[in-house]
Amino acid sequence: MAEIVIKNVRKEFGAFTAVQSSSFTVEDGEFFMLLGPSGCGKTTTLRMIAGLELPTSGQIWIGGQEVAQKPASQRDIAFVFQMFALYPHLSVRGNIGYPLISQGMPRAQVRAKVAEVAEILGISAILDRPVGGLSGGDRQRVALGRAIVRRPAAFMMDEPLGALDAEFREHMAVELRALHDRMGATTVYVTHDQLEAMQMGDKIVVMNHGVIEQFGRPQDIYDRPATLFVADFIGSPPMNFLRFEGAVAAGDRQVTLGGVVQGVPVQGAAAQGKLVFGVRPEHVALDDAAGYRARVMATEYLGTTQIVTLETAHGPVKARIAAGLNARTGEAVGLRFNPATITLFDEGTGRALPQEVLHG
Amino acid sequence: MAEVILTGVAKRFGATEATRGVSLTIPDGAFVVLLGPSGAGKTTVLRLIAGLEVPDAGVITIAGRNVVRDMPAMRNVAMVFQQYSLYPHLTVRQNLEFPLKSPILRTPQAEIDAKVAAVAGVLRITHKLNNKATQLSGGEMQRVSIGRALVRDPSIFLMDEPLSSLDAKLRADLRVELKRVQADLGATMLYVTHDQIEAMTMATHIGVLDQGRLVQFGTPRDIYENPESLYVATRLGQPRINTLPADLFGAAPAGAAVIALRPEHIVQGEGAAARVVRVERLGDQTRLHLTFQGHEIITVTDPHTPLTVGDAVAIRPQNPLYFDPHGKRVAWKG
Repeated sequence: MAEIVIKNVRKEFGAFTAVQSSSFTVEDGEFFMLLGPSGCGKTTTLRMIAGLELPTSGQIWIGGQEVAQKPASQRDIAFVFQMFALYPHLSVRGNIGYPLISQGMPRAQVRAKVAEVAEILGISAILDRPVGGLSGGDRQRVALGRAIVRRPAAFMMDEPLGALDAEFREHMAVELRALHDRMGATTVYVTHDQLEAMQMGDKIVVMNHGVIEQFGRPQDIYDRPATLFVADFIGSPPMNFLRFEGAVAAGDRQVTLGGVVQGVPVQGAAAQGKLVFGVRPEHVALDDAAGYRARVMATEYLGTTQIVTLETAHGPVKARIAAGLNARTGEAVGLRFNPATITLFDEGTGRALPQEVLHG
Repeated sequence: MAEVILTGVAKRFGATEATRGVSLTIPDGAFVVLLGPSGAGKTTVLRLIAGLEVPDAGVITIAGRNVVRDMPAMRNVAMVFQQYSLYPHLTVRQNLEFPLKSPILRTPQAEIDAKVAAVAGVLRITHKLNNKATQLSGGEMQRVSIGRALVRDPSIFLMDEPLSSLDAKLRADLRVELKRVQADLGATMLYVTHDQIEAMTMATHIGVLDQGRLVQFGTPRDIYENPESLYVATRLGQPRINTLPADLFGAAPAGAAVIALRPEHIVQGEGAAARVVRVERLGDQTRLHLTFQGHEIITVTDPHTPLTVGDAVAIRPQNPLYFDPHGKRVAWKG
């Protein structure tokens, strides 16, 4: 298994730059997510690590070897695609064993390896079935088995759960992560689903328009988004943005929003002009005593919690509050924002303003 | 708008009983969501009301009139399908106007214009009104097909997973919009989905279907908090409700075989020790995957919990639900 280091990697297709100069490190044994909307360059990045595309410039290190310009066959990696292509005329056993047989491994050894992989994936009972009649989940397990059986240095996965329905995807996500925890293989995983990325990843790279917006642990990215794009892309509902004109100085602990003073984390630098007050829905509380006023536009019941959509002088705001609390459409309420969780952004650059104290 | 009542409606396709004696009242102005996995009979119920299928048995009344023998066109229902079907040679405006241009209705053009403008605004497609339908993205096409239903004034709107082909963000926006439009119009709506978030957030009433049978009907809160069966309990809630042997945490009520615990109904720091297997940080909450006496349990905790894999954590059930060996709710006062 191996560490993967990406250094200033760049990819151009003609005049189009798919990936701007990017650098990040996937540590040995990590489950690493490349997250972003379609066209952001995440799949191109994955394909460059796998050797299916060669970068225009930059270095890619896998297990201490520089492989940027080497073909896929010379990199010890396995690729799992969104559309799991199985050999339809072969059995489950035949499909899983295929990579080993084509390497010229003796039959007895292949049998043992396939049995071991089937055990890990919980598909020992269906080894001799044709793949034609299998359920989506079992087909996915077979595709994984075929990737695992070679024991490569790293796995590349391109939206492997994308084709499954929601309920089953949730189940497979847990199963896939548990499989990773048992095997400890370095895995790079591409997805556009922020929840999947949060749920499964040790680390996340968030990409947009070929640029890495942020790189870090899921909770850190959620709590301290580096850009407006990340704050909006991660979280459901996403972070609320209240746009205002103002100024902050280094050391400030408050800003004025629509005439009401709001606490914020200690600011690290001065900024002024068009600013954005960012607050996550679960850090907005309804409080009649609060000076910041709003009107309830809609409520959405979610079991334990409800999402309340509010109209404010700064546009719509969503709050996630306990389902038992009363919020009636049309009602005027006050809003309280949890100061320690606020992120201020410069609207012009789209970047978060520096803060002195980190939360959590 | 009108009340729609189904009484003992059955429909068989060959050997498959798609709906079995479904009785259901959709009150005037209600937003009823039919929830169930594929094959539960949701779409068949919708098609029976629309008149696209004829029931083998039972009665369907719309505004007090039995419509079982009526052709679809006579029923005054508006249907939105999962797969949008627009007139490709027409513009968005012409597609939206189409239902109003019927020679029977003779709607004045000024009224048509006003309705189209209002609906286009709600669905945020005003800037696309003069585009050909084929120049739209999938999400825009689906909004136009919803809009084509909304410009009418039918007895009931029938919608078959209309949001399932849209991306997550648009789906979340349209959930709120659709709910607001329905409330503003006072429209009667029957909406089919397998997405529990859509069901919980939009419905005034949820009907849960299991293999063609309506197994529970009530408000979202009722279905979530008071499921009559284990099947219904597992339909709502993310992560899924934990189902465990009834006596795992001590004495269980007589006849109970299963204790079901919503992830948020597990108190931490009291009770018996479980072990943390995995910590999933989702941002607004953290999910703990635990093992407890050989059973897997999922619970939720503070987003910044210091717990890590291998830690011990004491757990105790709170507001548990009990079910008998057949999955029927066992009454119990805790």
